[in-house]
Amino acid sequence: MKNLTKLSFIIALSYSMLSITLPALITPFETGSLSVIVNTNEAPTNISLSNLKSVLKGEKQRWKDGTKITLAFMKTSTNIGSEMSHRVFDMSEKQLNKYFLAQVFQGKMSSPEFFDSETDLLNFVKNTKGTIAVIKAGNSSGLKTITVDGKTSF
Amino acid sequence: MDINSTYNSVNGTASFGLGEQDLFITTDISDRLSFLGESVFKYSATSTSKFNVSLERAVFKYNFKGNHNFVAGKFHTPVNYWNDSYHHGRVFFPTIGRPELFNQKIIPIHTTGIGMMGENFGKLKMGYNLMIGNGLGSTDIKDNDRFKSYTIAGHMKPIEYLRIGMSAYIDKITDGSKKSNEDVSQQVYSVSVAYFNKFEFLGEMAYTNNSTDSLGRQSTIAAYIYMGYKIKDMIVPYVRLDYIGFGEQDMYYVHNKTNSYTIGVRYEINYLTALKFEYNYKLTELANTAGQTFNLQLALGF
Repeated sequence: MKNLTKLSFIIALSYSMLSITLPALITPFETGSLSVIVNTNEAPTNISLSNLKSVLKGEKQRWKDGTKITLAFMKTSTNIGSEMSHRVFDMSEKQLNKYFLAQVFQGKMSSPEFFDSETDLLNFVKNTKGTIAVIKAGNSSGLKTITVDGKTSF
Repeated sequence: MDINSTYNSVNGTASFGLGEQDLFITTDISDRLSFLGESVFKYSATSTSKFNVSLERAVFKYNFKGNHNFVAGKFHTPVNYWNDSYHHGRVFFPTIGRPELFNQKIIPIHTTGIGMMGENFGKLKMGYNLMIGNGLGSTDIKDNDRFKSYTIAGHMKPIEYLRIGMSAYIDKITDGSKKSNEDVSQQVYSVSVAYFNKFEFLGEMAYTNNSTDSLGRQSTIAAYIYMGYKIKDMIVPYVRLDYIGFGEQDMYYVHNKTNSYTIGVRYEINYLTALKFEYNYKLTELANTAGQTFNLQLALGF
């Protein structure tokens, strides 16, 4: 937690330090550390990693029933957010932030919701129909988990 | 916003300057309706305050089904990749400035009107833009003639990081001719290939036909190629080559045949900050001498 507070402080004060400092502070995760949760019955029960990536990149605007797809992520400055950047999007934290900024700037998607705390993220998912989120495996808090390539965590 | 420093070899001056301050807002008005606005503050010699404010985009978007959307308002005309992707966000520009085909107004930049757009359909991730607008010569509040402009654009993203696009823009410009009062029928056809990963490539070509009753069809070609290579996710050395050649008897454009060569390096400090340094060698018909400039730009987003 102290590390995360320190990380936020560094990000707020120093752009130039970010890309140098970030990799050193992030603890690498093992495979199986992430899960995907949704607040909709319209999401498939299983999804391939490539399709998941497409949905999370904002390439699909609505679920089958017409509910708007809302994206919720941990900030890329957190361990889970960093892991998600590399493992799901195959991008660095900086690349992912720039990707979403560019997509919003181009008017192609609404900005995803980013959170510092997983509790806040889970509360948001519970209260927002149509949301899909990436969380730390095992923290689903009773929300519907969808499997990725047949696995509950990846 | 961006802050610039320039050294010009022709007059031997070095300058500091403010670029554009770009204010950008988005909001989801409802589950299906959203708004995007982009306003730019920039220097203007003719303004009493020496600064002008321009409304660059004001777009209402209604998502009616899946990835299909109705749009209305003022847009950057989706005739090529640069115009439809970077807008006024200098922090996104791969080089310091826009390609020469923007500086010489070869392509239409804005359209006020209505349209439809969608993307990411099928395995090839295809997309489209259909637009009808007021056309060149009009203002933001009304059309200056009875003719409308029509834009049709399509693209596909067959593999990750690659986007191939093409577009057509059709307009009739009244009193558009520089040398007589003839109307000009204009068609702009554009193709683009963009690939942005570790290796970066962006190539675009606009082929323009301007037709008048007296001189018939005159064709102009404007193109540029940008290439860069990302080193350690932060530093990107790059080159850009620009070319514009005009139809000999074209009566719409200001003829200024241009060859421009740019070499530079971009340092992406983080996703909101980019520092760029460039050397540019430009040969233009009107200047009649080669101009060399060194440019430094700090582009910031916040």
